[in-house]
Amino acid sequence: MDSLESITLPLTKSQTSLWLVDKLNPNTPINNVPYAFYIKGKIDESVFQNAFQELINTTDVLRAVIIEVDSMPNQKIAASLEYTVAYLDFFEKEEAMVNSWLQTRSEVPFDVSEQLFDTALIKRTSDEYIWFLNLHHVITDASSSVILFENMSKIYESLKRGTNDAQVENIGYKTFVDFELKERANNEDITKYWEDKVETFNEMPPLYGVKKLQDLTTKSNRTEIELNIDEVEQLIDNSNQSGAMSWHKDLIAFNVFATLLFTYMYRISGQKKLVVGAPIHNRVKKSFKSITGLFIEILPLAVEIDEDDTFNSLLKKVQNETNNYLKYGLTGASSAKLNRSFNTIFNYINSSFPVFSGYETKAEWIHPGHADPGHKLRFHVCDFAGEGNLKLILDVNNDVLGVSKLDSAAIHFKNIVNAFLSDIDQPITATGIATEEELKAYLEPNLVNDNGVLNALEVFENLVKHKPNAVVVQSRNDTFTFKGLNKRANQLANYLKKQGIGPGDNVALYNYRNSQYIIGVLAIMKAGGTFIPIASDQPEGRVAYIISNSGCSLVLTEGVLQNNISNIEVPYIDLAAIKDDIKKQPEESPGSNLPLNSLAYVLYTSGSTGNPKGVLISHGALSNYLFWAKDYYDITDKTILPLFTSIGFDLTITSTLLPLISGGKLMLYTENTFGPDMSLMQVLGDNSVNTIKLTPSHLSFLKDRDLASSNIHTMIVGGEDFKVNLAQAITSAFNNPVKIYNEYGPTEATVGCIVGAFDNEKHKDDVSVAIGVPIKNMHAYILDDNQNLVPDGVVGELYLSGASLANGYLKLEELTNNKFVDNPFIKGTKMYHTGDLARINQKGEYEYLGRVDEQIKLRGYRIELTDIEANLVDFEDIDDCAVVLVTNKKEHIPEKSVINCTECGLPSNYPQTEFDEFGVCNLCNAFKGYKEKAERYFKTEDELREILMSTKGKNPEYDCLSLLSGGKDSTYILAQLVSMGLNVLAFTLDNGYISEQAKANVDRIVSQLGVDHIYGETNHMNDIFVDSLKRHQNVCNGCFKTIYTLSTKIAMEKQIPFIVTGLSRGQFFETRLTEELFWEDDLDVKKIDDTILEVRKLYHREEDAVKDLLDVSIFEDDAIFDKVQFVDFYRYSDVSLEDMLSFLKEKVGWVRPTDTGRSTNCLINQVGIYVHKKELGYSNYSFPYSWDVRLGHKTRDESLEEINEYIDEPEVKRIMKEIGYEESDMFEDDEKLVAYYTGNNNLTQKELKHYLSQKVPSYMVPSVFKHLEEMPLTKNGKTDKKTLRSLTVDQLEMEVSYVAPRNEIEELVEGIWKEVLRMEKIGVHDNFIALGGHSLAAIRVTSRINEELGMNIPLNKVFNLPTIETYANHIEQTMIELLEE
Amino acid sequence: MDIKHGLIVFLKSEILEDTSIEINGEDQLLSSGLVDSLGLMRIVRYIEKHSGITVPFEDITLENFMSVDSIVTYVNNISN
Repeated sequence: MDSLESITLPLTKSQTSLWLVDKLNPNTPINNVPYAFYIKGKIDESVFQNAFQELINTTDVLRAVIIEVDSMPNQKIAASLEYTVAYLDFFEKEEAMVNSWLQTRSEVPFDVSEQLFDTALIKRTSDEYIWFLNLHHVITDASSSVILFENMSKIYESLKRGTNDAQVENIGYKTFVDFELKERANNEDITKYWEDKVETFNEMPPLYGVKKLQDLTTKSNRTEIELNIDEVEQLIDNSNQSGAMSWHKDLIAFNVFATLLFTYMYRISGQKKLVVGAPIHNRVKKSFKSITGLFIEILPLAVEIDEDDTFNSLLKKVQNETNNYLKYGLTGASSAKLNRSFNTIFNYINSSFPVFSGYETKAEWIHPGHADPGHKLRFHVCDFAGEGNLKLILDVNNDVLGVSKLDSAAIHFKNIVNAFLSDIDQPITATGIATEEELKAYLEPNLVNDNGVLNALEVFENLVKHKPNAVVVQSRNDTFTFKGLNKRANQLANYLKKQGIGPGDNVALYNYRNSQYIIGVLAIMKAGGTFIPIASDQPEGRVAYIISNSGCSLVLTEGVLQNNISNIEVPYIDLAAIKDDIKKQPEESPGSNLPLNSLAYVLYTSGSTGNPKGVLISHGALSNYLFWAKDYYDITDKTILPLFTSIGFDLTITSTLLPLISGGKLMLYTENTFGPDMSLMQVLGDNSVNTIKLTPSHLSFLKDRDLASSNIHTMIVGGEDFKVNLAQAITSAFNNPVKIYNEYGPTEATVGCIVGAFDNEKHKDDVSVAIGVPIKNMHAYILDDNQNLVPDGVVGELYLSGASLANGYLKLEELTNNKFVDNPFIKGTKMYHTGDLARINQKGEYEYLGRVDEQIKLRGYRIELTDIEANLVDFEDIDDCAVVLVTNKKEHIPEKSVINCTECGLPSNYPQTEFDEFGVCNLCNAFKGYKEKAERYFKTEDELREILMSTKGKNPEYDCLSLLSGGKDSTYILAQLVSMGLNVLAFTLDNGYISEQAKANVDRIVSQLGVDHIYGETNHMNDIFVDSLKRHQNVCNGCFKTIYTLSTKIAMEKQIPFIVTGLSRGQFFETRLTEELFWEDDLDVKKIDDTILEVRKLYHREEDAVKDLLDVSIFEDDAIFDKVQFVDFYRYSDVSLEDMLSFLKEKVGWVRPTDTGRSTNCLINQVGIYVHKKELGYSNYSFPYSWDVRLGHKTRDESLEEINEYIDEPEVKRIMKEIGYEESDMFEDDEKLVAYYTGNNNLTQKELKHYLSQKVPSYMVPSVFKHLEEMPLTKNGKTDKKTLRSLTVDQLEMEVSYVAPRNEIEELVEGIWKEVLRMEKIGVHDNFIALGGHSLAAIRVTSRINEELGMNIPLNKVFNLPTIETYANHIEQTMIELLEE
Repeated sequence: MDIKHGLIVFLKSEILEDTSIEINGEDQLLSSGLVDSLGLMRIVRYIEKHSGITVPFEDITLENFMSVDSIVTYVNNISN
């Protein structure tokens, strides 16, 4: 087997993917596989050295390194390698020191081009040694470790004996490489089988709730669980497997541990569709069993868990899946796509290392502290001693669990093992898995019931005594001192008493936000009653419902509002009308006793039935919040709070009362009687408050204002998801330090019950600000479906319990019983089922994660969608309806986690990009298939000469017009044309942003070459830029079209037959040569030219700013495209950059401009790049440059360097302002309510809005109403809201109904349009052009349909028949005609 | 080539890689450790390919696959 020369082999698939992981995570020990073998016996060091040298001689992979040939990895195996084993004398040294040495050494990354192993012999005592052996994974796997260990043992033993007769097989790794290469090709269909199988398992389970996609760490932490032999045997016995392969004990164990792993994954992620990657040994031939090297391949095991699965039923599924896995586990079947289908590895290791040369040995697999960041969890099962005790190892990515939480992972897993052991037939979710410590945190929180006795009214009345003359309420019209306010409240209370109001009576307060409201609240409480606040802007119907439903005995109202309730039966009082009466009332308090369990208020919130529901809040609950808030937010006599929110919200009640119980001041801002409430702006303008409570939507108004001189020092934010970047923007808008709190709480738990302070250091890496921890006397439980408390990190439903809890809903016993359920953790109490999802993050804070049901939060308003639906469906012309919240999210892959194609540099965030296992993009791979064909599109310089000379002499003034930007490419063209002896007119568009040097270049070039030159201009340029930025997210499209339009016009006027362009070959592929054009077997270049000409016609007739603002009438007649032909110079010339530059230097003296700071002539160019990157995540040059690289006109490095050029942001912002482009808002996801309905198609938006605004508050009126011919349904017959949510804003704005495809042809057309236009759903009446379809998309759509159906539909049809319905109709007609022929 | 003969050739050349080994119909394949679980699945694929039957997982039992003879009996039963 020995050869004298080194050999070079390709890498296997598995080796390549490991190599790639190394490449992507350089300088990490990510692929180290270090072992420490603790040998109980005396080792002879020199024999050991000789033995290891012999091991190298007989193990070829130890002599291997990885080399790159043409950037492709290969393994080079040297014929020989001399090596000296490091020897360390740690004789009787501290164990900690030895361990630290081992750990440090294990974490040293390999330079794969140098050596792929590291080893050392360590002496501990005279008869205890440690053999340290670390191999790069690319040359080893679990079986290889055993082979090496045993071979070393044999060789050592024979050398020691002096017989030197060790029987060690020496078969080279090449045997397997050859086999794998052959099988890989044979098994492509198997790979396809696997890829199809995992297709529907496309979501990664968020282990411990972590979904992080950016800044992924390779850091991984290890924790271990020991199972003794009895437990292991009991697991196996319990499993009692029957049927397939139950004879194989290892296989049973494999299935049992896979079942435990799947259960664990489900319990810590909540995801039911789960995939793990499991290594398959691949040593399918006898000879393979003695070869060292990487044999394993990772293939998926996929199961779908059902809610009622027991361990036993899941085990059966796993068993079946394992059989599949083995049956299709063929060599070479793995793929990069499969590797991306799992984030968890299941590694059942069947290796042991019990004896080294007759000495008892203990093997330890050292964790190098890092792992592939794609593997969030690696679960290994091993028994290195071979005695039947098992070690379960969990390697958890540090993003999922930090070191401090690692031990809990082991406990969670062990709890699952214990459940399996205790009863295999119990549901896998039956028992809780959280640790004692986690349970304790839920059950023993901040429970100090010290404020229970306080009563808000008493505390207020005490303050009246202590500081009677201090101002407590101030507005533009009124000022009240404590004493004055109290007197007015007492008088009204006495009046109410006389009207018969007392304890247990409900009084509605239907009023504006004014001092009468504040007095009303106090007076009703003083009289012992319960108040029901109703905001002035509520629709009449709702007001009437609340008054009647609440059973109130009296309504306090004012002014014109009484007209809205003139029809109700409940008596009402106009507070203005009884002013004089009230003044006559006694000034003393009527002195009602307010027990803590009596009701303070009933607050109505959106209800799912179409009517609001009343939440019952006791004085005890109110006090719990108020007095906690007073302490926590440090509300003192210095505090000034504004009252500016609707009186129908619970937060308004507590904002009103907080200053009254703290001795501070309330600034009162009354609402306008019509139009939007601008009170917040007044609050900021006045700058008299220092503490404010508001919603994130309010905050986003604030962020652009000058808050440098604001007096606000405390902000309490609540009501909806609060983004970290918004919190950061607000923090920096203030000059003074401002404390920002995020408060969470439903009305049912009195305003706020979980709270946290925003801390930039702590939260800067998060997306949303966490909601913090429960407030005093409150519990917040996160439960799974079985009402088990979930471990930290895991997402569950939030339940609330404690002193702030409401007493339920008024007159809705069933709903109350459903939502306020028995608290299993504290007997005799209730807990409120919020319907909110939450988790506890690694910092110990609660995070809010959205809703489980139809309730939504829109700009801080809590809305039940069914509330709107129930009202809308009552409209007589509507049959059925559905309301959804549509969000236009800007979700980008962050720049840091973008990778670039290893060949062309295309970034991974370019739409629909897929990389193979070599990191090569799908475009590069596809191009390899039609590259040769594509080359036929290109022609020679002779042909160019022929074309341009064909009319020479016949033209009045010029033979051609040459487009000149002043850059190298267009300058080269001009010089070449002149040297051909042509009369050339040069044309340059002055777009207003050409650099001075570039202009000087242009002027010098034309004068030096002696050609006539024209600067084209238009005063619409800025509008064209803005339009181009909006349509294409760049400036170049608009500029190009302007150039073509203006130059064609000149050419026509001067009868110039040709316009010569300087488009690069990369740009051809970017703008016209789509892959589809090369699909036909017989490539007809003429046909491509015809297609491109058609596209050009369509292009000039497309709607945009150029068409609107410039005179494009010349393009209406097809004749213009004959009269003036476009010739792309670089279609005919393939000059190298080097030749071009030397020609230019010699002939023209061209120099690259330096005043743009970039490799361009144009100063506005970077605005386009900035906008493109911001809106789409990648540069507009990424795609065309990738083509330049693919075609060999640029190197990958050059392209990446140019794409990553510096962008001068202040300059970009200045230019944006100059041209009038308004940037989109980064913070706000554009959210709107959309109502879909079936029924009468002729209803107007106005009509429907008007109707609903009489039924529901204005914030619940959808902004879009869209007619559907039929409501889309899910398989189960429910309204398919997912489809309804996936229509884009453009589609919603169309004035046509959404109709899903109705037949096969429509489905086919929809499928193709969706792919090309990158949309999720397209209705058959939606317009191709309005969906963003342009001429390039037309080529792609038409070619695909023609290919699919074997037809020949012309390109322009998609513009003439721009809907799926009309287009499909045309196809059908054509087909019928064809059949008839 | 009949199934039995073909199977023995396949076992020797593809799995054991030793044509000198004598395998007869009664030799224990599974309990002897001669064939592991992946090897067994290769046998399943082999007979599926060469006898045109599909082997359901519940049929892959020790009884049906313990020796070449038992596999042949199983295949004949299914084919009929």
